[in-house]
Amino acid sequence: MSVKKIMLLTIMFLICINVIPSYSQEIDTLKNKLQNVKGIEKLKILNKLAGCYWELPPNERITFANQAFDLANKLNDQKSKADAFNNLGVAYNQLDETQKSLSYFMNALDIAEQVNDKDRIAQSFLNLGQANFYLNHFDKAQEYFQKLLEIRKELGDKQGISMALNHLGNVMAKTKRYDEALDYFSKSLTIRKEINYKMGISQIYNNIANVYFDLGEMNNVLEYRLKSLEIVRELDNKWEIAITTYNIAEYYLYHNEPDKAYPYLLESQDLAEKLDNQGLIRDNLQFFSWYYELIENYPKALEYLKDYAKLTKKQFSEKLSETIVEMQIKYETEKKEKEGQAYKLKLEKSHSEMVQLLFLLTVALFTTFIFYYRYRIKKKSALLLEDLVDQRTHELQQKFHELEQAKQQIQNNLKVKEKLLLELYHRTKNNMQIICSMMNLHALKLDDQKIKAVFQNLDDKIHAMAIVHQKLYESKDLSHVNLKDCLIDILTLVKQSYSELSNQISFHTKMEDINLLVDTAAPLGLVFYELTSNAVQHAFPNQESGEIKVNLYLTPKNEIILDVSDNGIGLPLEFDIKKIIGLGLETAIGLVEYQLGGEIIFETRNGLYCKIVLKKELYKERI
Amino acid sequence: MEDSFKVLIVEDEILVARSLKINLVKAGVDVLDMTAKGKNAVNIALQKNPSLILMDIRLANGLDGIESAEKILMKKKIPIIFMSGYATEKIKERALKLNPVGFLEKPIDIYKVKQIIAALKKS
Repeated sequence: MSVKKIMLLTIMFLICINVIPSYSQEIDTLKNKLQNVKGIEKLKILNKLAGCYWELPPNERITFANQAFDLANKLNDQKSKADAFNNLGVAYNQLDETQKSLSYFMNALDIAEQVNDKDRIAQSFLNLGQANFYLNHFDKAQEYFQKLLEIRKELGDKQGISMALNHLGNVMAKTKRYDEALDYFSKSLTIRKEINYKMGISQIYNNIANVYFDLGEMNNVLEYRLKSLEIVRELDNKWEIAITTYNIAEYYLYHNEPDKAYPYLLESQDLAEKLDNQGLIRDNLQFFSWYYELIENYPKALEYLKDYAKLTKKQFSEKLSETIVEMQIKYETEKKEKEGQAYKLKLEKSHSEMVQLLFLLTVALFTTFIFYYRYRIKKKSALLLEDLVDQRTHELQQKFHELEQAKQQIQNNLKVKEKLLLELYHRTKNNMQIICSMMNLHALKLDDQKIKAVFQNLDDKIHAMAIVHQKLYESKDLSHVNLKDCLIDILTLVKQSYSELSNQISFHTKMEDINLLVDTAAPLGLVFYELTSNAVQHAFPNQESGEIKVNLYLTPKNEIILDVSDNGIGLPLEFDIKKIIGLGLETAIGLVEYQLGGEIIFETRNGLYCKIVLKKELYKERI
Repeated sequence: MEDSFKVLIVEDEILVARSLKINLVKAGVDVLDMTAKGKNAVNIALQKNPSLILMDIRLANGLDGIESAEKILMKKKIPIIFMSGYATEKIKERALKLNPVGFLEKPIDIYKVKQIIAALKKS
C-alpha cells in the first residue's frame, strides 16, 4: 500500500513539472508591457507574473515578487503588498524553504487583517493551511482550514466553502480519521453538486476513493474512480482522464484482473504521450510490466521494466540538472540580497551533494532490483517448465499404459472370436458330413436304384459345400477361400463318386489361385460339381477313353472365367441345351445367372464346352 | 389362390427363392415375381405394384434389401417383410426404421408369412 502512495505522490509531483499547458505568449506580452508601464499598473503586472506558479520557475517569480513588494511599499498599496508576500510564500514553498514560506504567508495575513480584506485573509489561511499540510503539521493545517471555512461561510462563497471542506477532509484522511474525512467530503460534494462545479465533484470522488483505498473497501474505490472518470470525460479534461484511468488500471491490476486493467492502461498511456507527460508515461510503463507479469508473459514484463528503468534514470538525471541550475541561480540572487547568507548557501550546496549521493544510491538499488527480478523470473520460468515436462511425461506414460492394456484386451478378444469362428466353420462342415452319413445309411437300405442315385447326388452336393467350408477354416482371414483348392477337391470328389467311369478319363486342369468370398465360392463349387459330374456321366457313353479340361483364370477386368470342356459326344446341333437339361444343370444355370449375376454358355466344339463368366467382387465383405 | 394378393420375392439365393416360391404357392399365395437384385426389385415393385414384398436384406450386385426398400417406399407405400440369415443389431435398427410389417429370420416360417398376409387383408 505504501509503495502505491509514494507512486501517486510522485505522479502529483511530476504533474506540476510537466503537465500544465504553456502560456509563454501571454507571459511574453506581460514582460514587454512591463517595460512601458509605471505605478499601480506596473505593480499589478509584477504581481501577476509573480503568481504564474506553473509557467515560471520559482526564482524568477521571487524576483518579480520582490520588485512588486518594493513598488507596493513605495506606493503604500497594502493589498498588493499582501499579494507579493503570498507570491513569495508560494515560490519559497516550491523551493522547499517552508519556514521562509510560512513567514511570508504570515506577513500577508497580517496585512490582510490590517486592511480587513476578507478575500486576502482567506487566501492567506488557505496558503498557511497547505504549507502546514505539506510539512505534516496536520493540527496547524486543520486550524487554518477551519478558519478558512468560517471566513468563506461569512462571505457566502459556496465554492470557497466546498474547497475548505475538501481540505479539511484531506487532513482527516491523513490523520486516519476516515469517518470524519468522508463526512467533510460528503458536505463538500453536496455544495459542488448544488453549484454544478463539475471539476470539483470529480476531485471529491477521487478523494473519497483514496479514503476507501486506505480502508481496504475496494469495491467503493472502483465505484468512485469510475464516477470521477465519467465527469472528466464529460469535461474532456485530458490530464484528469489520464490520471483517473491510471488509477482504475491500478485497481484492476491490484485485484489480479489484468484483462480489465489493460484498456484503461492503454488509454492513460495514450493521453500521457499526447500530453508529453514523462512522469505518467514512466509510471504506466511500470504498470504494463505488472500487467504482463500477471498474464505470465515474463519476457514482455521484463522488457517494460527495462523501459521503465531507462526513463526513470533519464528523469532523475534531468531533475538533478534542474536542481543544480536552480541552486546556482538562487545562490547568485541571494548573494546580491544578503551577503551574510554565505554560510547557508554552503549548507544548500552540501544538500545538493546529498541529493547526488541519494540519486546514485537509488540507481544502484534499482539496478540490483532489476537483476534480482530478472533472476527470479528466469528461475520461476525454469521451474514451471520443469513441472510441466514432468506432468506431461507422467500423463503420456499413463496414456501409453492404458493403450497397451486396451491393445492387449482387443488382441485377446480377437483371438477368442477367431477360435469361435473356426469352431463354427468346423462344426458346420462336420454337421454336413453327418447329414451325408445319414443319407448314405438310408440309401443302403433302399432297393430302388433311381432313388439311390438321387441320394448319392445329394450326398455329393452337400460334400461339395462341405469342402468349401473346410477350406474356409483352413484359410487365414476366415472369409475368403482359394477357389482353385476348392475346385481340385471337388474334382477329386467327382472322380471318387464315379470311379468306374472316370478311370477311362484323363483330367487336365489349368487353374490360377483366386481368393474369393465364401458367398460366391459355395454356389460356384456346386455349379462346378454339376458340370464335371455331368461330363463324366454323359460325355463318354460307350466307356471309351476321353479327356476333360478345366481352366480357371482372372481377366484384367477382374472377371472370373471358369470353363469345363470334354471331347465326348457333345450335343446334336439342333438342340438347345437349356431346354433339355435335368434339375442338376437347371440349378447350375440358375445359380450362375440368377444368383451370381454371371453368364453361362454351352457350345458344341470337339465335344461339349461350357464357359462361365462372373464378376469377382460380387458381395460386400461381411468382415 | 388368394384374390389378387400378389407377393414379390427378393432373394439372391436361388435355391432359397425357389423353395419359398413353391411353399407360398402351396399355401395358396400368388407369387408375382422373384428377383436376386435390388435394382430389379425397385423396378418391378414400382411397375407391377405387388401387395407384399418379401425382401432379403443381403443382396449381391449393388443395392442391399434395406436400400431397395427405401427407394420403393419413397414412391409407393407397399408392405414389406424383411428376411435375414443373420442380422446384427445395427442392421435390424436400420430395417425397423422403415416400419416393415415383419422381420423374419431364415429359414422362413411360411405360417408366419400367412399370418401377416391375413392381417394385411383385414386392414
